[in-house]
Amino acid sequence: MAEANESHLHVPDVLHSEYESVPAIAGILNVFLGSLSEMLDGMRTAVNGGDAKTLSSLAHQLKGAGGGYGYPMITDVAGQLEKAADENDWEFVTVHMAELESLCAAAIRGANPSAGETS
Amino acid sequence: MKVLIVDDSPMTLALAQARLRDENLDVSCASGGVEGLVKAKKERPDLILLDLKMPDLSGYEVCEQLKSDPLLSAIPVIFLTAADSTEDKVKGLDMGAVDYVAKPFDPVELCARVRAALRVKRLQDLLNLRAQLDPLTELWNRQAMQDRLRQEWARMSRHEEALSFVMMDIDHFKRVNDTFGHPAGDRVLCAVSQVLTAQCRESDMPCRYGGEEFAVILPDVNSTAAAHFAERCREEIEKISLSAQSRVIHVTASFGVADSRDLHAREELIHRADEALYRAKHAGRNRVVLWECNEWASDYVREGQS
Repeated sequence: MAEANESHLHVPDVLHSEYESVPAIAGILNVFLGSLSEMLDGMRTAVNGGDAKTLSSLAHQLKGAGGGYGYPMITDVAGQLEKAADENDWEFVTVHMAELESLCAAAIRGANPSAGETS
Repeated sequence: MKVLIVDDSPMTLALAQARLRDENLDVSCASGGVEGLVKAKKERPDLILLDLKMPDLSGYEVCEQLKSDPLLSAIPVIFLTAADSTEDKVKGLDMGAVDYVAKPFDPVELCARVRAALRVKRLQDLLNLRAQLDPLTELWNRQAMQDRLRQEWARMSRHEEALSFVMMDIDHFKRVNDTFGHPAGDRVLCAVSQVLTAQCRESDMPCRYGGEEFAVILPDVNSTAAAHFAERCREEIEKISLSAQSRVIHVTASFGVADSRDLHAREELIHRADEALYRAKHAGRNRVVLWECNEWASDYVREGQS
């Protein structure tokens, strides 16, 4: 039987923006995708340092932006991460942090298929 | 129209800007609450999209400061935030926000709410403007003049600049009304107003003080230049020629001029101009009198034609 703190999220290999054909968004997708790495670094540091406030703030930003750029799954998981941080529930923080990292990597692969490929 | 977006997330700023691109708006951004307040004061936007959760100053705190500043309180605020509790929404609206858009925002909804807020802002601006105008002449009314004089007095005090005030009264206006009727009197008031407006710079403020009395605020103008201004107006008013009941109406006007030198209160400025106007009336009308310098007046003033 699955544990409560296990991830049940199916993360696809690649994640495409729902708005990648909308010129206004396609033109700024790189702003979003280019910020992900730095944001995830900040979140990891916050997790490792037990800094729930910073983690909540960064997750909140990602929750607000993800869906707007066409990635509603990122908004959902970032929202769960924010909630877990606010509740100091570090077991769920770990689960949702891993989910978020997988989703962000899939989004980056979706926009740039060669990203993450090994030669 | 100008829209200011205040959000600590560069991702959200870029997204909101992109979504509003087709709305023909002048959009600027601030990456935090403190910067947002500075830009609001500097740019005086027509609408502010305000994030709630920001590290330096929360959206609530920014909204509170905006609403307590008389110069900024009329700017509508839409909260734009990922905080989605009813309590947050109610608190934001109770603080004076006009609307609330949840992030991640639906782009169509965001644009529609921005358009709606700007429509209301346009109407409010129009109402505010109407409340400051005299309905007959469309010059500024007395209340607007008092407000502007307060501002100019404060500015003048800070920068030690000149400030002049002119009061004007149409001579024997009652006779015009009695002889030609009130509609003709109204046409005279409008014609005189047009003369004043035509002689004013953009920074001057011509007002209908009440009845047949007018006033003009002249920022950065000393008393000599103000008297020349009044004399030009007097000459142009003399040229007014309106026909009524198969006759021609000619009018003249008397002017009192004062400037802010040696004064400590703006009420004194009005009082001095009024006193100079009184002297112009008693010296025979159709003339300009400068407060504290009757000699100058006798050199300059041309007698009216009877």
